Amino acid sequence: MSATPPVLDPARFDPVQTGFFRFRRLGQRFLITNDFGRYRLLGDADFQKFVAGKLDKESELYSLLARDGFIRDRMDFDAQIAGWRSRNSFLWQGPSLHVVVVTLRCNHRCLYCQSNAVAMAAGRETDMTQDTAKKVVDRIFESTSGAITIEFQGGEPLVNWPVVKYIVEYARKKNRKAKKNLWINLVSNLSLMDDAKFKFLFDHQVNFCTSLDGPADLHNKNRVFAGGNSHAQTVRWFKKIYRKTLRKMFRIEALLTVTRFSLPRHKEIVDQYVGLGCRGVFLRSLSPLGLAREVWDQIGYTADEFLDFYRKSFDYILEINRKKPFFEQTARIFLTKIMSDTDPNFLDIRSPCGAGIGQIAYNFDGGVYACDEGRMLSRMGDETFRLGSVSQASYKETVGHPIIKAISVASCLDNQTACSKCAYKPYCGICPVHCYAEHGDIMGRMPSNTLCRIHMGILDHIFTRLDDEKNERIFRKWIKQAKERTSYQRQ
Amino acid sequence: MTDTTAQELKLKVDSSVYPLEAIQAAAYTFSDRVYIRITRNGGGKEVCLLLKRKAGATDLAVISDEFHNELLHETLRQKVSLANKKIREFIVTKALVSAQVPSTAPAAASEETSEADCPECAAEAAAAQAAGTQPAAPVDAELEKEIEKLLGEIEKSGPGGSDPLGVAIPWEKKFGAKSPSAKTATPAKVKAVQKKKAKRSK
Repeated sequence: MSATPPVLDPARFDPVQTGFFRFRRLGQRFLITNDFGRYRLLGDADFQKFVAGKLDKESELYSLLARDGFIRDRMDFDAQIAGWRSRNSFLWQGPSLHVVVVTLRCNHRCLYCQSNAVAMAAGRETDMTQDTAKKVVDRIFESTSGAITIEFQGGEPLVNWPVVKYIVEYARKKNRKAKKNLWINLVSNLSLMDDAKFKFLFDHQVNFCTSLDGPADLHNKNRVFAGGNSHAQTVRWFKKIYRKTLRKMFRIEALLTVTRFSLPRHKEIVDQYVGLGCRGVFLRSLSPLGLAREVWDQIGYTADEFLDFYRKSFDYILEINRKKPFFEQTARIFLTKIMSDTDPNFLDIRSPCGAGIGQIAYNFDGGVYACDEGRMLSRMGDETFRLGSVSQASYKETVGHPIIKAISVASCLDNQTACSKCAYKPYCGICPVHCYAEHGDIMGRMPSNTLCRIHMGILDHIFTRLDDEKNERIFRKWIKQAKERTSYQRQ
Repeated sequence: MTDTTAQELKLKVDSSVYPLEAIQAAAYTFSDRVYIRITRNGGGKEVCLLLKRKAGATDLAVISDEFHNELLHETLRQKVSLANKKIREFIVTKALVSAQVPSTAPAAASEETSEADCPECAAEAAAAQAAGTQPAAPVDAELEKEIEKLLGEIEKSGPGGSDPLGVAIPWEKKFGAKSPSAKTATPAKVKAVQKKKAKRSK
């Protein structure tokens, strides 16, 4: 006896009627998707009829499938080509996200620190100099992308405040001539923020992003701060910045990192974000990079454990949506791809991924990396993803580097044995750096890949919930809000 | 046919029923749970699989059942893929290299659009079905030649110069003193198409 019912006799497939589709069984339904990102959930009988080309041509289902490019002899080529181009418009851009690590020093010692930050006492050896900062900004403005985001990372960027200030001023000055769509983000724990710094950043329209891991005890357990109460500092400044930027184009967001300690506390975590007035929460799983890798036994979890947490949180968020709009960000990224013809350009979940062709990371010493994750790996002593230095390699040499080509090939889902056939291919993406960290190979092995399992679990849950009209209405509101002001999204 | 022991499972699959590619793909799907060795027997008609259970994996009898279902899935996937290979290449290639894409939203399809757009697709598929073979190219010879040429150009540009989309040209060199506004940063022909995003309602 079979564990799951067989699909059908493949010999019944009708190559005249039935267009290209991928499929996946979801409970009692079959999910079918195609290259244009269109989907349909079919019952067993309809699925078998569809495959065999036996659907009633007068039926509504047949019309919907024809409209969505599933019926081979009813293909609207122009519409599908336009849709494909729209969904893949990022291919014509170039690096829009530029991560600048102005220092490796940090006053926190987070359990999962993926950047492997160094202690404050380490001195200024790992602070970016103004000379290097100038070269970095000059290089950033060479990007062919008309939209540029400079994102300060660390360490804690505010530790090297003079260079943050210099880059903000110099970039704004350069942009008066370049006239790009320039956004500047500061990713900070906010513990070193003061009124003068905030005024400068506010006046220069800098976006803020901070880490918030949930209620105070959980946050402080994850984010160890010798200088006091990390949660109190973060929340104090979050509230202040939130108030001041409420009607502005730039604003503050918070990011959650889920550790083993978070797993039983999904409601409290979501409530914390709702209580602070956030528009949503980003339920991010841990990456096996930096310190997280060293203490994985204590703070890590399996993909299934994370998915259990995710599903509970997600369903709780759906309950909240009966009163007010509040989204989950991973779902919103996927739903934007599922329910519209646009790609939110989330660099870690696209095909090919954004490394080198969507983002570039600059280390404190001017070292250039294909992406921030590649730079994080260098902190573990592995320079595989280093492209050179702003002082030596040209822009063309950097973006044409063989490493970027290799990453692009590896993250192009058409080249992945399992992904190319997966029903979730139109919506998914893989991270070659993550594959490299997990499998020692940028191509990875999807059947045992943690991120693959997590993405599939999340998408299974989304499509299961999408099968209910009430939820569909909620999701449409989420993606309506998803028109971001920046040209990329990333974790 | 299965021969199950506690830690190992031997499967024999008739390769005249299931293509080797489908057998390999199905085996790959289970590589997180079992170690797999694939061989052919002397005659070549039978493919033998030796599945060795990994620690913590499901019962091998369940894996055997799932594997047989997966064989069907993979065989179907392969058929669907092969039947639609040319048509998919045509769409993606045209999307990548052509700017002449009308803005039509994917409305419910009509006889006119499908026949007018790619009459060869249906005819060739019908012929293929009648002949019991997979359909041939869904595009006419001239268009196919054009696609081949474009693909050839992309390949020919090779390492160091492989920048068909111009993403490696620095901003100032590309646009000079006349920096366009951010909104016009993408090549004009791409922009034209991006403007015409097909709207879709489920």
